[in-house]
Parts: sequence; structure tokens; C-alpha cells
Amino acid sequence: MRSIILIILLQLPVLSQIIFQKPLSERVANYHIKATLDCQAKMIKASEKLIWRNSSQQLIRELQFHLYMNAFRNDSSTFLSQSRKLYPDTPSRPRQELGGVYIQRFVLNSTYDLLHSIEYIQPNDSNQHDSTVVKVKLPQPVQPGEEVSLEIDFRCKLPKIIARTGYSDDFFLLGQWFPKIGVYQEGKWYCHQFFPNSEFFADFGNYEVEFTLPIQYITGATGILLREESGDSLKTLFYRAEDVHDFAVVAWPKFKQEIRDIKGTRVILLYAPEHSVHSKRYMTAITAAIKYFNNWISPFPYPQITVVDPPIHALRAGGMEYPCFITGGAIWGFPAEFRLFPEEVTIHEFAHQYFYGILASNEAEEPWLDEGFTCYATLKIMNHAYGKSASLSELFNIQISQIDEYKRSYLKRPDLDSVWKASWDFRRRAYGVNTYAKPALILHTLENFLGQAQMDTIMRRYYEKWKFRHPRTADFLALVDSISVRDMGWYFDQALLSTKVLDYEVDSLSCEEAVTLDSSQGEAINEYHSRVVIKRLGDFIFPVEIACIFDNGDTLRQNWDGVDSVYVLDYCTTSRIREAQVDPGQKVWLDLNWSNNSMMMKKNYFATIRHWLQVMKIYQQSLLGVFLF
Amino acid sequence: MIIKSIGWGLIKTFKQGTLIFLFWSVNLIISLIFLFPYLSAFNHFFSERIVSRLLEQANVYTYYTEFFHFFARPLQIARGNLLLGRLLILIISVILSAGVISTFLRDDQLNSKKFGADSWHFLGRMLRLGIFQLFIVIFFLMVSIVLYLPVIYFLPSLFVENIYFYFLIGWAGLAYLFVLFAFLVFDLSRIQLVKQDSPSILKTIWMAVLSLWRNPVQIYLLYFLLSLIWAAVILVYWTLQSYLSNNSFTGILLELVILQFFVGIQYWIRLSRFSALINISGIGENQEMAGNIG
Repeated sequence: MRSIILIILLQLPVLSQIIFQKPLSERVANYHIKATLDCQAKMIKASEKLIWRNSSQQLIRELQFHLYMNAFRNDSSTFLSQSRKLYPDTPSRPRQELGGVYIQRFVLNSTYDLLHSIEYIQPNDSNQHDSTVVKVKLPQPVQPGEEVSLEIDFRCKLPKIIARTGYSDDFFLLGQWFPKIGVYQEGKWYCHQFFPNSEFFADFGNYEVEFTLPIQYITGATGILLREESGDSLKTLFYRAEDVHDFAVVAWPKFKQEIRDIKGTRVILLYAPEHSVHSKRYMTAITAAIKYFNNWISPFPYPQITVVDPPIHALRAGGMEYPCFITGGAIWGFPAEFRLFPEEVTIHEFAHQYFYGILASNEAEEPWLDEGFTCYATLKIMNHAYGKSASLSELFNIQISQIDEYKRSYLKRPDLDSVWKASWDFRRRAYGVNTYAKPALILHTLENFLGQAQMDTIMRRYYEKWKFRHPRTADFLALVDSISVRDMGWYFDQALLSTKVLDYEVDSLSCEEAVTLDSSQGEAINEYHSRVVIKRLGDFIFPVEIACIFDNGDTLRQNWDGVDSVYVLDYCTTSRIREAQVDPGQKVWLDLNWSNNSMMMKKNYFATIRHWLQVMKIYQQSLLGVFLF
Repeated sequence: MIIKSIGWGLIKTFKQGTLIFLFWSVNLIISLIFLFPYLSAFNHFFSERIVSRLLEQANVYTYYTEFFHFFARPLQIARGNLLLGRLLILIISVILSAGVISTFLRDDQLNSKKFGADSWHFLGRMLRLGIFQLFIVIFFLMVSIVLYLPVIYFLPSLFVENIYFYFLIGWAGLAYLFVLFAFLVFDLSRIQLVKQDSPSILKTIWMAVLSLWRNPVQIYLLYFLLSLIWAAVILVYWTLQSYLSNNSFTGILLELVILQFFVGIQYWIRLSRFSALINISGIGENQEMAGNIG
């Protein structure tokens, strides 16, 4: 009986056609799409009706659309050609594995046939082989506040799975599959070509999608399933999503499904049958993420989220975010002590629901705003859910926390490029570290500098002010300045706009004994003159705390602004100095080398002995080899 | 017969404790020599830093990352040294194998003069045999990989993941047996070489194949069982060390002693394979060793 009530309660949101009584967003671009998936031909035949409103104050004389799927239309597209430059081992794709969108009908306001007015444009790189953006000249301009309707018939040939979209055998992930209008802001179109490192940017709106496919397929999508109509061999699913800026669908006949209600959000987990051992891990991770955001920033505003675990042959579909829809990734037998898959990836993609989904910044122009904030949130949730010291892994007794992994990435390329850049402007191999790891460390260091309470306030206000809108870096920085008691421009200038590196070192530590005469008592007193020399090895200036500990247990703390490159501390005390440490609380995660942040008067050989034993074990065995080898 | 031969081999080898001691010493000395630059770098990076206290308790990833990053150059040299050490011990093993085999064939206590003379006498041929073996093993490994390629090609449509995993384990097992065959033939060749003092290594390989042909199942099983015994020893060692705490100086010392004990046991099993093979293949029976040895 209880389970029946629970099922009814879970179904309540889908019984009504309207999800939100009061719109959460401006709803600029509203789509009604009827699509049929041809599983044999790997093709979608669809008709799309878009109601778009000019939300600007300008007259608009042309419209621009993304045709993302055309990135896979030929090997010379910007996406594929640059992929080969960035990653030289990227193979050319055989013809049958290419994809593309083909517009067959384009009618404005049910009157003007504009099919022949469509023109491919390359606003970013002038690559004539790239057809990921089109513009359409309008017969008459759209007035501010005016709505236009566009009826677009198109075919979408799905590529063999690439960039988290396409098919793999009988598995389909439909991402960026329909012509999607760009964003008109500040008197111009933001409709960039599809680059290997760039992601997406679109206006909020409602989506009604009627999706027809073979009856045996199990599906998941961005929207809520309102109803299903089944025929002999095909079925049509009616989905609705409100206040989102994209719509993704997944379909595979072999999916297993698990549904759970977490803090009022219905979680639908679709997983490969052989990954049933991981379903609990997925659920634990998504539960941790939902609950954390609930307390940290704001409850998840949508009624449902779909979590997809792709089969191994479609692993390239894994690790992606779409509104109310995320893909994880797991491999059978992946040890529970190593939480990169599926835990970290699930939490990361869920965090994108906020930093991309709701705070819909321009991922192409300012990728750090979505990936960096998401990484920052991921590390907070991982620490909270799995413990701070070994949140990512404790396999083979090696403790790896989420932030350690970001630090490793940052350490490899700390000064290759700056953070605040468009995704296509990064130097080779600089996108990953400057978009994911380094921004996470920047925000975590900021949190430690301002204090958690102030940082939490910043994050909450950032969300409240900019939810269901398109915040920019300048908006975030202005918000920080308005809340923080200190001007933080000096920090962001260095952290976001420069390639400066931060590294402090305790260079030397010395102590000399001196005997002085106490004039009042007439007795000889032992005094110790200690000197600590601290160096700033990098050019990033950041104020730090210095702690000196003495043999009698006293600790002297001092702040240093870090402006000069060398700082000398002299103490005259009755006890000998034992050790000195820069940033004793380990708050400055941007410090490249923490190991050199301290120095002790007496060397500690024990760690070396312990390490020696560990290495001896490995080496002596490796000299022996595997039996007989 | 197989169990008897293994037992015979283990007892005979146990009696040659000096041989086990010799190999264990070489292993330890090379480890100490070649690990020194690496550990020196580690000590230099950490010993005067406070983080070393953390590393006494756990393997903290961040500090190792920093160590590997900021000591990349010296560590590269140290890693090169480690590889050199492995190569050196391989060569020493090949060189000494003639002395080991002749000791077992004589069924005599180790005589250092004879051991040295035998090792010297067969030096060139043993090295040639070792190089030849290396090529054959690589060839066998490549054949195993080529046989595996169709599986990778058909992976998406044919296999579900867990079945594929079991298949992979099965394939690795078969590849192991396949490569084991190459080792088996070459171990028999070494015994034939010392027994016959043949100038041609190809002839000794052929003779080894013939002795394997005469008694393939038992010889193969013997070899396989010995490798299982070795695996069991490793398992016991891993289990034992998992119960030991190495966060105290005494704990570290104890673990080091146990490690040496198990290294010795492994050499015991490895050396006993020659003795057991001599017994089961009948190479040592009713035959005189070539007169010019020792």
C-alpha cells in the first residue's frame, strides 16, 4: 500500500501539463519538436516549431542558429580539424560515422519560406568548411518584445558517438541534435561555431518534444514524460521541460531503471545491466550532491533529474551535462575505493545543473564560469560525502582527495595560459587546467581567504541574483566586491588574467645561543637568536601567515603581505626555534609547492626510512620478476 | 611423479643454501646500490620539511606529486638506474645459471671454484641462449596479442562487460601458459647445454623440445605447479604484511626482515625448478656429464 502511495506521489508532477505555475525564466526560446528516430539509418526526421521573442531593446534583422551536429559533417569542420591539431592521435572519421543536420523547410510566421535565405557563416575562424552556424535574413525586422514563429523541418544524421552525442551500436544519445537559435545580447548575436573545447550557450524556454522510436527502447530525457502512445512496432513519448536551455534524449533497449525521490526531486537512474553493482554508488553520489546543494546554495528547482550510465561501448557518451539530464560512466569491476567513476563524475555533472543549467553563463566565451565553479562544488561535495583526506581514492593505501587531483593538474601546467579566456583562445593543452583545475583552486583559495561564511554568502547571492539568466565573469567579480569587506581585484587580476605562479618557500632556519646578563637579577640568561628566511619564488603576490614553533611549545604567528621577494624574521627568545611554516593552515591551494613551505631544525629521517621500505619491497620483487620471468 | 619431483627439487635446493644466499645477496646489493640516488632525492626533498611527519603515517598524494614534479630530473636519472639494475640482475642470473645447473647435475655440495669455472665456461652460450629466449618470448607475446585483436574488434556488439572481463582473464591465463612454454623449453635447453656441453645452442633447444615431447604433460604441469606455489608464497607474504603496521621503527625493521625471508623463499622456489626439471625430464639419469666441465 505504501509503495502504491509513493508511486502516486512520484507521478503527481506528471499529471499536470504545467510544471511551474510561475515561470522561473524569461522563456525566450520555446520549442515544440516532433521527432522520429530511425535506428537502422541512425537518423532523426523531425519538425520543429520555435517561438522566439526578441528580449533586447534593438530591432533584429537576422536570426542566427547553431547546427552543432554539422561539426561532424566533414573532416574539415572546425571541430574535427582542430581536434586533430589539439590531439594529433584523433583519427579521421569514416564517411558512415559522420553526422550532420540538413534543414529541409524553414518558414517564418507561417508565411515566409526562408529556406533559400539560409547562409552558413563562420563568425570565429572563417573556415569555409565549417557549417555549424547559419544566419537567416528576415523579410522585416523583429521589434523589441515581438515574438516570431519558425517552422523548421530537418533531418539529423547521427555520428558514431563523439563529444557525448551520437550512436554506438543500438545505443543513442541525442545531444545538440536540433537547430537551436543563438543568444541575442547587447546588440549582437552570440552564436559561436562549435570548437573542440567549447560547449554551449542558449536562452531559456520551454520544450515540448514528441519522440517516436521502436517500442523496445527504454528512454530518458531532459523533460518529464507526460504520456506514451504505443503502436505495433513504434511508440511516441510526449516530454515537456520548462525553463531549460537544451533538450537531450537517450535511448537503449537494454537499460535497467531505478527511481528514487530525494528531497523532492525524482531521480531516474538508467544503467547498463552489467553495472547493477554500481547503481547504489550512483544513487549515493547523486543523493549527496542534491542534499549538499540543498543546504549550500538552494534546493534543486526542477522536479526531476535523469542520470544515465552508458554501456562500455558507448563510454564516450559519459560525463556530460544537459538540463535535468546527466551522463555518468562506470566500468564493471571498478573498485569501490576509487571514486572517480561513477561518484566524482556523477557529482560533477550534477553540479553543472547549477553552473551551466541554472546559472547559464556563456560556456564558449567564459568556460571557467561553468567548469571551474562546477569543480569547486565537486570538491566540496566529495569532501563532505567521502571524507576530506581521501575523497577520491584510498586504493592501495594511497590517499587522494579531490583537490589533490586538481593540484596535480595545475602543477603540470601552472603558467601556460590565463584563466579568463574564450575556449578557442587557449594555447595547446591549456584549456583543461585553466578551465577545470585552476579555477577550482582559485575559488577554494578565495574561500579560505575570505572565510567559509562569507564565501557561502557570495555563492548564494550569485545564485539568487543570476539564476535562470546569463551571468558573466564581471558579474561575479562585482558581487564578490559588494560582499567582501576587502577589494579583491588584486587577487582576480593575478589569478584570472595573468599566468603568474604562487610559491613560497622557507629558505633557511638558523638559531644561535647567546648568554646575556640580566641587569636586574645579575644572573646569566641563555637566549636564542633565531632567523627564518622566507622567499617568494613565484611572481604571484598573496598575503600569508607564518608560524614559528619553539622548543617550549610557544608558537609565534606573523602575517606577511608577500610584496617583497624575501622576508626575514628575527627572534630573540629563551627557547630554541624548532620549526617554521608558511601558510600553516594550508589555505593557499594555489601555492605550487607545499612541501617547501616549512623547515625544521632537526631533520626527520623516519619518512625516508618508511618510504625506503616501501620502495625496497617493490624493487626487490621487481628484480625477482614474476615467476620464471 | 610431479609432486615427487617438486619435493625432490625443493629438498635438493634447500640443501644448497649457499646458492639461495648468493642470489638473495645479489638482489639485496643491487637494490641498495641502485635505489640510493632515488632515496637520496626523497630524503633531500622531505627530511627537513614538516610534511615528512605526515608521510610517516600515510601516502599523501599531493606531496608525492610535488616531489615527482620538482625532482623530475634527478628522478629520471634514478629511474634509469633502476632499469639498469634490473638488466644487470637479469644478466647475472643468466651467467650464473650454468653454475647452478652443474651443481644440481653433480648432486654435490656447492664448490665455489667449480661453480665459477662452469659459469665462465658456458658464459657465451648462456648469454646467446638468453638473447634468443628474449626474442622468442617477445614473439610469443606478439602472437598472443594478435590472437586477441579480433576480440577487440567485435567488442561492442558481441560482449557484455563482465563476460568480456572473464574472457580477458581467460585470455591472459592462456597467454601466460603460452609464454610459459617458451620459458620451459629454454630452461630445458640450459640443462641440456650444461649436460652435453654442446657447442650449438640450436642443437640444445632441439634436444629440449625432444625431451618435452617425450613427457609433455608432466613437465608442463610441474612447471605450472611450481608457479602456483610461487603465487601462494606471494599471497602469504601480502596477507602477512597487511597485518603489520609499518608506522613504527620496529614495525619497519620487522617488515624488512620478513621481506628478505620471502625474497629468499622465492629464490629457493625459482632455483628448485632446475633441480625438479632434471628429475622429471630424466636428463640427469644414467648419463655422464661432458668431461670438460669444471
